[in-house]
Amino acid sequence: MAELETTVSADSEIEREVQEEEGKASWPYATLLVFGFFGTATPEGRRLARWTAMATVGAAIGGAGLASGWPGGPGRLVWAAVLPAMMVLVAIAYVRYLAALDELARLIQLQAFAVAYAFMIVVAAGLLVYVYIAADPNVHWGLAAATIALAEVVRGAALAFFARRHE
Amino acid sequence: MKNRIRVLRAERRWSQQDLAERLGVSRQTVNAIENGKYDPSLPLAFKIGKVFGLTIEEIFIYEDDGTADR
Repeated sequence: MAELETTVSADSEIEREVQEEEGKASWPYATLLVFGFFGTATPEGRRLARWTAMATVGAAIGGAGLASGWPGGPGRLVWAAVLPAMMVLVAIAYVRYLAALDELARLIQLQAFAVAYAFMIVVAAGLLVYVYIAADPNVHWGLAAATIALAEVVRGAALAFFARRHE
Repeated sequence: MKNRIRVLRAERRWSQQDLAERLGVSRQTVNAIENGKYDPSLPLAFKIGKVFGLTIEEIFIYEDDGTADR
């Protein structure tokens, strides 16, 4: 009888522990929304953060170089090459990040990328229509930057949405 | 698809983190599978079976939603 009571008590303890830990297995929503990845708790997360930080600094330097107008002539092409090169760096970082994630985390990331991609297509089409209708060749460069920023916001929201569906 | 992972895990006194480490996935993934919010891939399902020393059929219970015959 005492043995049975001990077993029941142990089972209850396990059940309590299981219930306690279930409440803590949520996704890092704040990190997903703001930074678009699962955080720096893992080596692959830290690597992505490092690479994207370097790319951001590189893009800022490239943008500042272009804006400065120095050097003139073909020398500006060097600055012009820096921006796409930094985007390639971010793309490579994300490919490596996705490859290192487990299958559910990767699925959530890919679903969010799909939503952001669809959003970019719609916005780009809208911009094309605007340029065509307005016949304005002087569209402000900030529109392109704003589109990228908006796509990142959409991606963050999509990440949180799809992560929530798998909790 | 239902599964018996929570029960099997509790029998072995493993936490979700313990199982996640054995499977090489995140704890959130183990939680999602346990709660039926995510159906694992076939390789991961086999891995789960191997970890518990059981077959896939002994862990996962397929529920036909009627779409298979359409």
